[in-house]
Amino acid sequence: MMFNDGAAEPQNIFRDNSWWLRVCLFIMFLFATLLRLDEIRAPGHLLDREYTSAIFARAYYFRNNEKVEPWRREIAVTAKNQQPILEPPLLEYLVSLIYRLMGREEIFFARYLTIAFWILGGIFMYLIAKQLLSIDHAVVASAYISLSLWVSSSAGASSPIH
Amino acid sequence: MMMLFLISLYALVLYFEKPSLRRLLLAAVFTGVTLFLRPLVIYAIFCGFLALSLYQSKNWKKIIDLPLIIFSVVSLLPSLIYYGYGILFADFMRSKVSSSFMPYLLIKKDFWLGWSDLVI
Repeated sequence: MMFNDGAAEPQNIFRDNSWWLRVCLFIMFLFATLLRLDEIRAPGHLLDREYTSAIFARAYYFRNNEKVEPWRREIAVTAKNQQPILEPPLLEYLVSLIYRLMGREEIFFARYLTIAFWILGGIFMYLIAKQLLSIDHAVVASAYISLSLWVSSSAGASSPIH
Repeated sequence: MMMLFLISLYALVLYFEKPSLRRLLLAAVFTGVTLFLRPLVIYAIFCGFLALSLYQSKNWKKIIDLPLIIFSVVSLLPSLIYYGYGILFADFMRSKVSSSFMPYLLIKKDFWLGWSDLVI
């Protein structure tokens, strides 16, 4: 069953794989990335979730890290154990790997990851709408998810729900 | 995560466009990972599955079929194991249950008035 047979209707603005479409999508996703990077150090909207995530990421980063003093490691584990487990802390573990890669702990490193996830999400939104409706609809849908104000400010947060 | 949710929906769309066991399992595995990490999107994903299924079959009586059962089992299994273990045995999820599942609210008038305020 084809949802969208791919035949371009005359009133469509974009045509599949056209130069104009590629340029628009590139500019849109670039702008969405820059919008988020601009506020990468700003406090998020879900501070409690970000706090919990940061505590988990720190504990994973300190674990088996010879450069960290044992007392700091112990406090990090104690703080982690006091946090509720809401979902499997996969994002926090990935963030701890970034900390290791960068050699230091900065909360905003996590946001690079969530920004990348949101941009990839925008690409999949485009693919879904293109498959179900048309390229024009797909551009609007991915623009909404990438550029709308609430989504872009919320997407800067570094908690797993993003 | 929003990205995994959208990947799951995309996999579902691909399955319904050209149904095959391989595509169904792919969609179920992606959905399984998504639900494992973010169980609350279960409603959106299953509503998406049912909507596409209804669109395809044009008959609501055929909604519950073998693909739905396979999809449900494969996608729900990881979450059921993890969260079931956390709630019933390991205890690390019990606080989450008491703060998230409050069925007594369903018979409270204020609960429904609050929802209508949100909607309107």
